[in-house]
This record gives sequence, structure tokens and C-alpha cells, in this order.
Amino acid sequence: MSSVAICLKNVSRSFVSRNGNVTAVRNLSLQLGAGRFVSLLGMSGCGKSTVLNLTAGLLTPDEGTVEIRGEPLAGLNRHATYLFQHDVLLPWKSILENVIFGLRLADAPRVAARDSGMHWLNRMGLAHVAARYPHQLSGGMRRRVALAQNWILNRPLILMDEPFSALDVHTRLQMETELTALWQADAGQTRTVLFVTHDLEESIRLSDEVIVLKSSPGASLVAHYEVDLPRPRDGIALKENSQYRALYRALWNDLQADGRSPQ
Amino acid sequence: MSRRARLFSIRLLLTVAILAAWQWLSSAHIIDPFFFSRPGDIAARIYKMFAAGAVWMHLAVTLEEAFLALLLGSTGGIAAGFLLGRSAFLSDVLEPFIQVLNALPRVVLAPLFLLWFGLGIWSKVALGVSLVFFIVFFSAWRAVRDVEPALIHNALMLGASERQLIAHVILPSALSAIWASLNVSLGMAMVGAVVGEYLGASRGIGYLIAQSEGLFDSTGVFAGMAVLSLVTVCVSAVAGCIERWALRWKASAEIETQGSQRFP
Repeated sequence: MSSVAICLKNVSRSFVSRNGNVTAVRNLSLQLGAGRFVSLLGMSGCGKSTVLNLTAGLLTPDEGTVEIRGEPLAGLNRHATYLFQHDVLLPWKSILENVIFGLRLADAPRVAARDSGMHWLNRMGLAHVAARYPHQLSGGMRRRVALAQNWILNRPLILMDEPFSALDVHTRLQMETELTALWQADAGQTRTVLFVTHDLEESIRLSDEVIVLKSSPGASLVAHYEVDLPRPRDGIALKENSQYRALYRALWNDLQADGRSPQ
Repeated sequence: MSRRARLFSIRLLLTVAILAAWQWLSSAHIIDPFFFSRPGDIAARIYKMFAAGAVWMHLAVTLEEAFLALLLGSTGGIAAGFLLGRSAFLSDVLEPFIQVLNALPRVVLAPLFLLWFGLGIWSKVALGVSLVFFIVFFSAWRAVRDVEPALIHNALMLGASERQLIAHVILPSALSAIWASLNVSLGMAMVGAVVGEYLGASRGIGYLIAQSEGLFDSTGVFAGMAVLSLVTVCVSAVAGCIERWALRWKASAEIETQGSQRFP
């Protein structure tokens, strides 16, 4: 449990834009223990997604290093899957084909892949829509398919970029429960989740740790909180909990301070 | 009456009305039948052409030229579009050259093609290719560049190689745009074949039209035109069937999202 899954050391990254260079991440150092559920919390546009893309290997840092399970990251992060904010199911593939897409890319035999895909669809309560296409499903169902598409590959790291931000509140709470159940169902809880969100309550409900980033100039570390609340966590009962309220206030103050800071 | 049947009868009525007006205007010498001919005469001429049988050979030659032009032009266009769409460097280097080539009016190349490739079918194919290539190339290029980046990132994270990325994500995503350009190209391939024949050939529908024109035989010109358009429409219809099959995931998406608004 004490091994390090993700380690960022003094990472900086900037982008060239019309108004000159914009620093998205500035001198950021992070360490994520294996098997932990960690949220990156910050205001919109503070560079959270850039941190995620750096961890995924979709971006390379200008300075600093990214280490995944003790090894410096070169190219794409093959230990991780990435749940994107946008809908990324392929519209021309059926639900089952979408779920097993990663397996098929790795040349898994068709029959075995389909069996595994059906198993996952059953688990997500979606077996009855296996032959349908993504546009025929609701937003919540599509997110479940995306979860299955990621989880089926059984990789030790799961990166998530505000995956439930487009859902209505009710569906969102349901999805959070399902995500937590999936994550806890892993034997030995070895899967590490890095979850990006701007929703303060969501970060507390889901995580073991919350890392607060401030936006200017460029994402940098503000604070790091342990969330020591018992699981399973009930979104409503939690609001009565004094520990939750103290944490909420602390996170709120951190975000407020960032909102007031000069750009 | 169903919507389909109503549409069909209106279209039929419109066709009959236009042809009848033409026939009457020409017969009453309000327009000169020497220049404008008459639908009745044209129909009779088409019947005679097919009864005599020689027209089949000419039609086959024109279709062969158009088909080869479509095949070579679109294959080249798609390949070049993918290559430049996936390589920012290549597309930066080559873009001005392509723009210049595309700005060239292709029809003026026809005499050159006749010199280079002779009076046979290949000069017509070359003209067709020069027309088809750019239409397909530009739409393939744009379609490849416009693929949703999140789809590409997701496939990459799931482990796709460049080849798999093209097969599973980019090609299907670009397919509907490319197909639309192929539909336009079909007409252009026919234009290439006919214009080529028109300028110098001993076979083909374009040659027949040119011959009729030389004899001031407007009926023959109209008959050739009618045969060409009918054949092109038939080929387009077959292409439409294939398209509906290949893009069936999309068709059902459109019906489900727009159906209620289009057919209240």
C-alpha cells in the first residue's frame, strides 16, 4: 500500500496562445500512493486537466519529471486508462463493441473479448442494450459504458476528468456510488484513481485525499487534505457530519482565496 | 395518399407539364424546332439509337472512362487526404502547391492530355482524375483534420496504434464527408469523360454528341444528353443505396433526433 503510483516532480508546462505564453502548470509536485482515490480540486481553467494529460502522457512537461510506478514516463502512459469529460464512445460501434474496444486493440480473441464485455455490461446493468448504438442511450448509461470500457482493461491507474459534470444531480450521485463500488470491488484495492473536479462536495464524497490547486499563475499546490470519512458514504447523511463540514469549510476557503487572487 | 405517393405524383405531373410545354412551344414554332428539337423526336431518336445497338458500345466506353477516373482519382484523393491530414509537416509544405494546382481550370488541360495520352480512353481518364482527385482530396483532408480530438485521445489511451486509429476512428469518422464528395465526383468523372471525348475521340457518348453538333442535329445532341443524365442518375441511386448501408448507424441517429420535427 505504501508504494507510489504517480509522482510529479517540479513539473511545469505552458502553452503558446495568441496572448503569448500561458502557464498552465507551474512547479507542481505531487505524490499518489497506490490504491488511493485522489481528487484534484480547483476552479475551472486552473490547469487541472493539463495535470491529468501530463500524467496520461498526452502532454510532455516543459520542466520536471513524471514518474509512473517508479519509472519515468516516456510516451503514452500504458498503465493508465482515461475517462474523458466528453462523450468518447464511437458512434459507429455498438455498445458491446465499444466496451471491448481496448481489448480488441490489444488483439484479444473476439469470443473471449465478447464474453468479458457481456460480463461487464451485466455488471453495469446494461446487458439489454449491448447491440444498440451510443446515441440510443441516455447520458448516464453512456457514462456507465465508458466506465466499463476503462475498467475492462484492468489497468492499475484510472484518470478521470470531470466525468460526471454533464449529468443531472440525481444521475450524478448514482454514478458516484457505482464508481466507488467498482473501485472498492478490486481485490486488495490496488487501483489508483486520479479524479479531476471543480465540485467541492463531489471531491469529499469520493476521495481518500483532496489536493487543491490554485489557478494563477498556473496550477500549483495550495493544500492537501486527507478525507478520513467511513465508506460507504451517504451524500445526505454526510452533511450532518462535523468532520465533513470542517473539511467543506476549509476547501471552500481555499477556493475562495484563489477566486480573489489577481490574475 | 401517403407522403411518398403524393410527392411522386407531383413530380410526375411537373415532368409531364414541362415536356408538354416544350412539345407544344416547338410544334407551334414559338421556339424553333431546328435549334430546340421536340421531346417526342428526342424520345424516338433515343429508341432508334438503342434499337440499332451501336449506342451500347459508346455508353460502355464512356462509363469505363468515368469509372476508371473515379477509381483512380478517389483512391489517390483519399490516400493524399489521409497522409496530409495526419501529418502537419507535410500539409504545411505542400499546401500552396495544391492550392495552385486546384486553381488551374482543368478543362484547359484536356488538349494536353490528348497529346500526352493519345486519343484512346486514357486521355479522358486523366481529365476525369484531375477533376475527381481534388474534390475527394480536399474533403478527405478536412474530414481527417476535423475528427473529434477526444475520440483520438481516447483510442490512443486504450492502446490504439496509428493503423488501428485510422481503421477504427478516423476512417469511419471521415467516411460520410468522403462519401458526399464521391457523389459529387461521380458527376465530375462523367464530365471528364464526355469533355475528353468531345475534344477528340472515335467512341463514347461525348463523341456522339460532338458528331450531332457538327451536323446541326439538335435532336441528336439532346438524345445524347438525356442518355447521359439518365445513366448518371441510375449510378447515383445505386451509390445512395450503398451509402445508406455503410452509414446505417448514422441514419438511425438522424431519424431518432430529427424525425419528430421533420414529420410532424
